[in-house]
Amino acid sequence: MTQPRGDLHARVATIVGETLDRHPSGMHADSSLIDDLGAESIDFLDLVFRIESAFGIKVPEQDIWRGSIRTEPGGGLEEDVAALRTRTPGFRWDRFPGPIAKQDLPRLITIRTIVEYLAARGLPAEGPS
Amino acid sequence: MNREVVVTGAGALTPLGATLAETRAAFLAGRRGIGPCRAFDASPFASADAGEVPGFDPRDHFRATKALKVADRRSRLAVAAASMALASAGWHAETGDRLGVLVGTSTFDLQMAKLAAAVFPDAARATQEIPFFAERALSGVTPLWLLTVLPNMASSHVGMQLSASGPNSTIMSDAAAGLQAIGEAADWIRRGECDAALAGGADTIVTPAAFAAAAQDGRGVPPAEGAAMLMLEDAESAGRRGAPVAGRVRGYATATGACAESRAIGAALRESGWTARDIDGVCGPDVDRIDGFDPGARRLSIVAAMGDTVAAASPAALAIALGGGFGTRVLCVAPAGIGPAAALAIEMVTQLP
Repeated sequence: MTQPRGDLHARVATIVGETLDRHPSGMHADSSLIDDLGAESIDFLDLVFRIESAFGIKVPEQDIWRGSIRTEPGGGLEEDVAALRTRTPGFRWDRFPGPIAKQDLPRLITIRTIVEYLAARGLPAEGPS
Repeated sequence: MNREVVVTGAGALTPLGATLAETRAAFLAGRRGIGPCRAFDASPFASADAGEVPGFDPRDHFRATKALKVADRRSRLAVAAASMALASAGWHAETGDRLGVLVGTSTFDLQMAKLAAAVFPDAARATQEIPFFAERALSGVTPLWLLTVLPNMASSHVGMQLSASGPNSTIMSDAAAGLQAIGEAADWIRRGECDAALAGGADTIVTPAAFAAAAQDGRGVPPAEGAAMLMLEDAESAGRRGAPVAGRVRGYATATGACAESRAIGAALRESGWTARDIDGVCGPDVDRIDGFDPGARRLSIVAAMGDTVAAASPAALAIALGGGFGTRVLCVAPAGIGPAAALAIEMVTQLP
């Protein structure tokens, strides 16, 4: 399957792989960093640092946790999760039989959501590659 | 509670070999593990020689390899030595709630190269303006830097990677720290805080700073690295699981100040119920110069073959002695350097393979 924003995807996948000591063959765009790739809280510190260094940007901590999703129930959370669901065919949505709550959002972080976040920030811009 | 403590396993990585068996064979063959430093170009120093552990793969010993990014060389050596000690003791328990970890270490590597790279273009300014230094260091150094260099990380990684979730601690007291770790962990078991413990030393001083210090102190001992960990167990628990008993811990003491070494030896002997004349083996980094023992007592000194492995030295000497041939009533002695001295009396039972 071809990846939209292929170059950005490849760079993010490389960074995620290095952060979590995963081989690219063991990851795909919709792997949950937490549930599938074993990320813990300190890994997100590391990940944000690596992304900031690689792309020459600052990433506010709350941004990496919520991606493109509005975080308030009744304030856009449900609509944004529903939209995400249609974009992420490979995500294990069966892990969430009930409604997604605010505290579930970190488990929704995937390579794809990070790529989408960076694209929304206007990347790929020129920066150290 | 005052339980008997036995040694049921050991693991070591030293400049003589990446396992205890290799180390022991090389030591008995009279080989030296010293050569030109491979970690970096040490040729500008008075001597470029170092004692480095030959190739080993920490991935063989880390359950979660992701942790390697926050595991410095010292932590990797500690986990590998502890992992081999568990295997040597035939320990297969799923849970390690009653398994403690105590690592002695002398120093920690701030990884100055990473800090320097972050502030380098303006190094002169960074040394004079703290806010400038902080801004550069914080924005240029991975936030995991501190987690990598904290001195207690070796014992933490051993606990996490080997599921040893009993008491966990670190002793930092220069060269005696590794032997102190063994003595203190034996006390944990004696007091009933845990039933088993991985205890020993891990260090690496193969760093530019240590080469500079070695050039200045004039002793001519190459900076080196290594780790040696023993598996200590409550004798009854070990017996229940049919573990091999390599030795019995009979006495331990540590001392500082004037005549620290002889006072530590005296106190360890008193606890063991032995006199100096009963000792038929003396081991440690450099024990040839210690007198007062029977002239026939075997001596096992490792510093000439390995260089300065600091806190790993005494446990490594003890681990070699546990392989047999160096006496049955053995005293391991860590001499006082800038820190305390320590002595541990051990009765050898069955040779470790």
